[in-house]
Amino acid sequence: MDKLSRQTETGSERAARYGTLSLFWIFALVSIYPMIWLTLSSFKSSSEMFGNSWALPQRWRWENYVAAWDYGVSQYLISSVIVTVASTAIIVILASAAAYALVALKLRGRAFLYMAILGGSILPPEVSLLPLFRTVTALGIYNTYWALIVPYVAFGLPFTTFLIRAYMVKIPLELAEAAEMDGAGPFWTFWNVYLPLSRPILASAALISAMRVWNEFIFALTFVESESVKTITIGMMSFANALRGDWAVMMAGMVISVLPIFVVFLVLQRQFIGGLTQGAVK
Amino acid sequence: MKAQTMRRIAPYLFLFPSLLLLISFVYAPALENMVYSLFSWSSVRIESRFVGLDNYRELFASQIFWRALVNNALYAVISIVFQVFFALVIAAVLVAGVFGPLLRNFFRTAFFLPSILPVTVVGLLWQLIYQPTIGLIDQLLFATGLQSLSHVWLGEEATVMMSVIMVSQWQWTGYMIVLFMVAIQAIPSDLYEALRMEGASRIQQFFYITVPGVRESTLILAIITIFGAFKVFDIIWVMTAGGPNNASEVLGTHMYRSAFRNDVSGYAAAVATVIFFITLAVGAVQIRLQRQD
Amino acid sequence: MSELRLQRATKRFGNLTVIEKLDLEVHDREFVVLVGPSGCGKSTLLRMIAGLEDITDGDLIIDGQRMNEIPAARRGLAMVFQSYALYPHMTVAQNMSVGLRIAGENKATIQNKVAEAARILQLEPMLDRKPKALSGGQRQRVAIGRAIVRNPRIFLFDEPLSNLDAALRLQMRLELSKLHDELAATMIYVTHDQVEAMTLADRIVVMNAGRIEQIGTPEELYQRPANLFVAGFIGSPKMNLVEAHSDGNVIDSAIGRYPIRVAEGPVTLGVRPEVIRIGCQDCSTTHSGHVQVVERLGANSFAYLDVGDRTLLTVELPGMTSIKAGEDLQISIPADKVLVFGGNGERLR
Repeated sequence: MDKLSRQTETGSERAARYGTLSLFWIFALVSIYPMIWLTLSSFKSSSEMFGNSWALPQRWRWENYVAAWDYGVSQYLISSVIVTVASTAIIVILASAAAYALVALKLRGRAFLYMAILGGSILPPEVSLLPLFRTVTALGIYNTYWALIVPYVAFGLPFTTFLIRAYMVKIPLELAEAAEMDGAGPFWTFWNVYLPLSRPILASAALISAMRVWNEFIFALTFVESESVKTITIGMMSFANALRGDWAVMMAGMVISVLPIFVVFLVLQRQFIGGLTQGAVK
Repeated sequence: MKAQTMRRIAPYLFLFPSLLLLISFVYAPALENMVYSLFSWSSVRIESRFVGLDNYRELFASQIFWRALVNNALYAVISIVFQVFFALVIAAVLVAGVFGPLLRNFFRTAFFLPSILPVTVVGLLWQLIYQPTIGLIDQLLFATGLQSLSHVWLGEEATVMMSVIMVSQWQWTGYMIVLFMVAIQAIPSDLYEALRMEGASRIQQFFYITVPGVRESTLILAIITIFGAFKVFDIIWVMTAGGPNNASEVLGTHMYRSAFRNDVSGYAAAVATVIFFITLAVGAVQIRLQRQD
Repeated sequence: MSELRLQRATKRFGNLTVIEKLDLEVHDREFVVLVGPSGCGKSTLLRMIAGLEDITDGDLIIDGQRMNEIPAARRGLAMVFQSYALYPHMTVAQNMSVGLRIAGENKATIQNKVAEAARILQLEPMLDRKPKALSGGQRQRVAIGRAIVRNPRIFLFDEPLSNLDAALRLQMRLELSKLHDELAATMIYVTHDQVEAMTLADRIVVMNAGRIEQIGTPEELYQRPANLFVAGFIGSPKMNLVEAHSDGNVIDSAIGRYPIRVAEGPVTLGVRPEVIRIGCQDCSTTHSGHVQVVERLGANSFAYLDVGDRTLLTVELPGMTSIKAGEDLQISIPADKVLVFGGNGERLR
């Protein structure tokens, strides 16, 4: 069909198409060139970086990466991985349990309970930040991984529950009823029917939660202070402050901090985008 | 009898941990925050003093607060232009099959990529790109003979806010394009075919089918965008921390600095409460729209 | 022995009463079909029996034991769902054995029971397949197999054939009949399809708006419907229902005068299409009509006659009839085959 319309297009249509095409190439370039520049610069020396901004590195300086790694990026990375894995696992487990109850179990006030969970998504973290800071301190978890994991879970639940629920609603209720007739309790049905059947959305939900946690900023800025607990988003701030001037090493550190999420995205692009769009578009 | 009771409460056990966490770490703090805003207190002094609406009076008299509010509004308007209108058009072009599938996927991925970056990386990266003279933008301007347009982008009060806002557009427009693409792809293709039979051009198809077809999604995405604009904090904190001279202050940074730098927590809580009511209004609309499915 | 009794069973959803004080007895080894239009409460009734819906009021008694508070799984029932409700991620054998596995039966027993059910239903070659790899009829059989392995006191079926195409539905109907004989089990079956009800049931329960209109054997319902609703619902094509008036001694209608003595007032006459004769046999009640449409089905045909007074009469004709639309036709109706319904819809004769 496209071929056909291409054969019959007039001169002005062709001009419009090429015009659009070049415009899109410019947009694409604006979109990704900063990342390319970041990557290339991370292999240069600092003077070369600004002096020869547009060129390939004269020599690929892997030592920038070694320096960044040794300078503390490795520790930030470990913290980020721990916090992200723990938060994501807890979010997905709790959210799928909640979604299952909302979809398949007999509840009084189901609509209210759903709103009670979903409502959390309209509260920006800034609003709770000050009292949360005190809570975290009072619980004695300030400056530990828990100071991040617990709030991340609480703030991650509404959206994730929404996402998983939207998927579980489409699982025929008759499956749960058949299980009930077969003598299954709610836990059995959750574990043996709903979870296995929700695997695609669980993957998407985990990916999105992981990305959000990995990139989270304001809690990480507020609830931890030791370098050993800082996640990479905040770690990069101290890193950059410490390295003002040694741009190239700083950029190597930035590339390292992006790399995990970048790789995951490229490998699992479909689940990634699938989950994001299910949440936002009807 | 015990099994009977178990059967009745089991459903609530599935919800209990989530609700407990939400109440303790989301809802309760948000309410506490409102209480805090009626007191004058700080972290160094233990005692706090009830001051009624004094914090709000101070707030509404503060020039920085109004400047921040205007900046948030500006952020919202520019974001709507780029992340809703512009993104919708780009998405429509991508879906319409103007390019082959390979090129389309390339563009989609290229536009989407910035949205997966941590905000620190984006902020630091663009600080470098905005560097006067040696940054990429100034280099580009000098190379094309437009050096008169050069600025200390993040250092001048006149340019700083727009500079930061544009970074946000760079990061999020592609994300919104992908969301719009999904919404557009959900429109039944026979609608387009029927209109094509009538001889409608692509632009007519866009206005007669695409725009009405994604009306609800557009509304939701616009609300999400506004929502994001009023709670923005991270990108500004990384790039300018609200400076220079509060020129890029937004409510989020104003609140944060008041709480954790200037140690006027009651005042900070008042700012947070303002953010709360703004986002509550926006969010309430969103939840209503999303519940219609 | 498997007997089931409902006594004044009532179901309310909030203020909405779906089932009102309903009494029903199902005997051992009986095949009872609940039939009625959609929304009549038949599925809700089945789900109340199954334990999937609470019983708001009244009693459910199975083999002498009150079951209202007993959870679904411990009522000794098995249910075949409309969509079959097979777990898509489990094989046929796993699907059939879920109940046994939950009950903690040992492996050998499970294997024997599954094998036995598979044999009865000719599912042996499919035991390791997933439901997706099965045809509609095969899935249906797996769903039945899942019920069989539990060796229930009573089988419940919720519109089990409605997702199958016409040919398969006929075949499964026969298989279900055979299965009922083979297992000598008590079965309660819900459908909106009166043909299924007529062909499968020992007794049919016709429901409407949460109440039972009539309980009886297929023949009773067909020959002696208790009221206009049952008369109109059972039989295909539908019974002809003609408005008429009784003066106490004679009923006068668009299809003739009948010396039937019922109380004076408006009545409705019911005439099955197959009792109407063509031509003048008992010429006292001959009447003429104008043929509007003829449908030829092969073994028989149906003519739709305009008999005046805005009344359209369906007449069954043998074979591929040569009667054509546009003809005028003489018909006669034996008076003893005419049913009479009173103004309240109850059958008077």
